[in-house]
Amino acid sequence: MNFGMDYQGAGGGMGDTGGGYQAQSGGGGGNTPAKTRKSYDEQTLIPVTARMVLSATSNSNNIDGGTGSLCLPDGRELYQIKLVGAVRSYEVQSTNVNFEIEDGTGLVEAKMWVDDNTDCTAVQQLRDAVCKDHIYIKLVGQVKDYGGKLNIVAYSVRPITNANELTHHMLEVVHSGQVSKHADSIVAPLASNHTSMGVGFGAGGGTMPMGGGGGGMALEASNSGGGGGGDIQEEVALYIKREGEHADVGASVAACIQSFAGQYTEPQVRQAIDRLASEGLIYSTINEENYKYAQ
Amino acid sequence: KMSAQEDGAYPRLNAELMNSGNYAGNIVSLVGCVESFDGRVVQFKCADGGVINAMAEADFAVSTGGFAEFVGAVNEDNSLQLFVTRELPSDMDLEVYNQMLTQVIHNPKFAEYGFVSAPVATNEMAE
Repeated sequence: MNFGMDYQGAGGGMGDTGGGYQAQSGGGGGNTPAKTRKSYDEQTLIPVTARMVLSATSNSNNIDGGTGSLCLPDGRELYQIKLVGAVRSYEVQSTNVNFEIEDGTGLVEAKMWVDDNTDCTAVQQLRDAVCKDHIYIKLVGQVKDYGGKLNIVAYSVRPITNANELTHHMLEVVHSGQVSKHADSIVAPLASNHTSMGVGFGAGGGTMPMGGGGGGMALEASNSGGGGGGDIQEEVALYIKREGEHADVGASVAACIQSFAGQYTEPQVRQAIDRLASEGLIYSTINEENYKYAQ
Repeated sequence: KMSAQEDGAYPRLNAELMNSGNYAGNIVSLVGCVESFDGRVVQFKCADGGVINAMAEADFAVSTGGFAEFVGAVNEDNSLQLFVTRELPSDMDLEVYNQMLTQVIHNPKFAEYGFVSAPVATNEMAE
């Protein structure tokens, strides 16, 4: 669904509408004519560890030493990254501050540009707060490749305010990586009672605090544990996927209810459809009574 | 001295992993809560509840009850020769951190994210 991002011309799959920067070549004026701005769908913010940054490799077209696109080892293209690590050292210079950040996976350099003339007091105070050895910070920035050496140009560096930001970040790194790997096979998070399942992100069952319905289950897997809320959603999703291919308008809700008569009630089926729609797995077509499966 | 360990890369441990004896000679990191400091030895409770001793300098500044990450070299007796102390806010949830340690950091399935789990063999044990 289009969330109103089209004031700029075109979001992800809108084709040639508008005068977007998505148009081929000549984008962004001036000295790097081969650089085209990424579409919104590609402007990702990926949580990473230092090791992941250091393992990033350049695609071809490494122009200027700083504009080639970089990829993580798992293939995800880097745009912006966020990282939580400790300041190993810092060096304040007139126009920038250079950090060495480590997080247990590696040591990475980060540079933050400063402008004392235009930076307000709050910005300067924040900068003072992070210019300390051995504090944990969270940074957001872009990875740049200068002559084969990878470092980060940081837009935002701030001290962590909650000790669990470190734990959270590490979990988010793994979660984001695993989700991108299994994006095709995730049906829907389970609403409740994680009975067996086991196909979590290495956690196995609901013991992990971050669990809460993060279990990705392949669409074809039918041996879900017990008759929980996840079963009906899975079956309804399968129905819509199967029947939705027969017509442009997709599968009819009424037909779906009828096919599950005796097994699930109408409210149950409708609730399952609502849940699937809110998770983006199915979408309505001509009206709210017809749905197709999102590929 | 610590041979092949990469800069900034070290395993995150709890007391159980530390006491396994596998990490002697390695630089490691432990997160914990300070229980006592007698001017030389810091005792801190790790994420799994076990207590570890760390040899610290006299200027060790984390108060009892404070949380910190302790980075240092593992001695033969599984105590820690403390290099760096990074104080952490007091809202640290050690149980979640411990689960992250055991289920993520030390899970070979997630090694691709750069987590260090295996100890590095060190040859220079004779000091």
